[in-house]
Amino acid sequence: MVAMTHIGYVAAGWAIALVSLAAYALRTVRRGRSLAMRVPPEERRWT
Amino acid sequence: MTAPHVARSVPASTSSPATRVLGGLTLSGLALLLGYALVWSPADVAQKDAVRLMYVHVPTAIVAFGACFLTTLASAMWLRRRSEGWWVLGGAAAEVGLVFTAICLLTGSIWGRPTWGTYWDWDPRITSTTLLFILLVGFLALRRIDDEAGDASQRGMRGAIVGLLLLPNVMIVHYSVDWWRSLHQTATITRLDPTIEGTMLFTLMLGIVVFGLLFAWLLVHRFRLGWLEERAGASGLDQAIVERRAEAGVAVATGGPA
Repeated sequence: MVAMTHIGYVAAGWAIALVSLAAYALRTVRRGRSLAMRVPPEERRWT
Repeated sequence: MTAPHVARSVPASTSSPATRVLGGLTLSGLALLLGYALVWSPADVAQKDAVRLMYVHVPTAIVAFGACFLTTLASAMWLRRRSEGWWVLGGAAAEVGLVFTAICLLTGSIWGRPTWGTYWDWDPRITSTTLLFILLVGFLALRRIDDEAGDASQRGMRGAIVGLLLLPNVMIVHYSVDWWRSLHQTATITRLDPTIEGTMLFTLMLGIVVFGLLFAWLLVHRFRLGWLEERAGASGLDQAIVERRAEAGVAVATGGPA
């Protein structure tokens, strides 16, 4: 098996992208849950 | 005997059956993309394994540009119709676009070190993408800043004008490699004869689809969150008005200041 070159750069690039997107997704969903409880169900048209 | 009627509980969140399907598709696609990007696709002859950063950098750039297009569209439609839906969509697209633009800049910078020997250069494409990032920050900031009179319309107008500048800037980013001398290569996949092929081209296309699905999922959730923020803000204002009127009523009844 041939060793991967530039493994640090590849790992850093992908890790930054995936962790940032996961953190943003989590924050959005959590804020949504917390706000949804303060708004009447009829205002949440998607449910 | 029939079962007693049980009221269906409505989940208090921004998700729906459709977003759950979209989320599942996105996660499956992401797993497949990681397999192709990091394992199954070959290393490049010149860049070696650093080319694997292309499968995250280029798709996030394309998605960021799509988000800017949507923000400009929503800004134009808000200026025309002044509807809440376009207002919320503009904010949602810009915020998600800002995240993707930041990731595009960061992954590009990391990719630049092994390929160009530097993390940063004031190359036309990098500079115009940085300007795009600043415009997105400005757009989101202007929508939150009230003027002295607290005129929401003025606030929206200022934000929408910045929103209109996003699409022209995306065009500058796209054509910058043709108009000026740049470290970036010219068009790779948007030309009729793409300069990459086989598994590498497939992986890049898969990346564009997967990050596109992720953008769609994030956009829907952020749009619904924005909608809830508007509703919560409106109900908070209504509540404050009711409380203020109640206080004024008490004050009038007792002869105090209204």
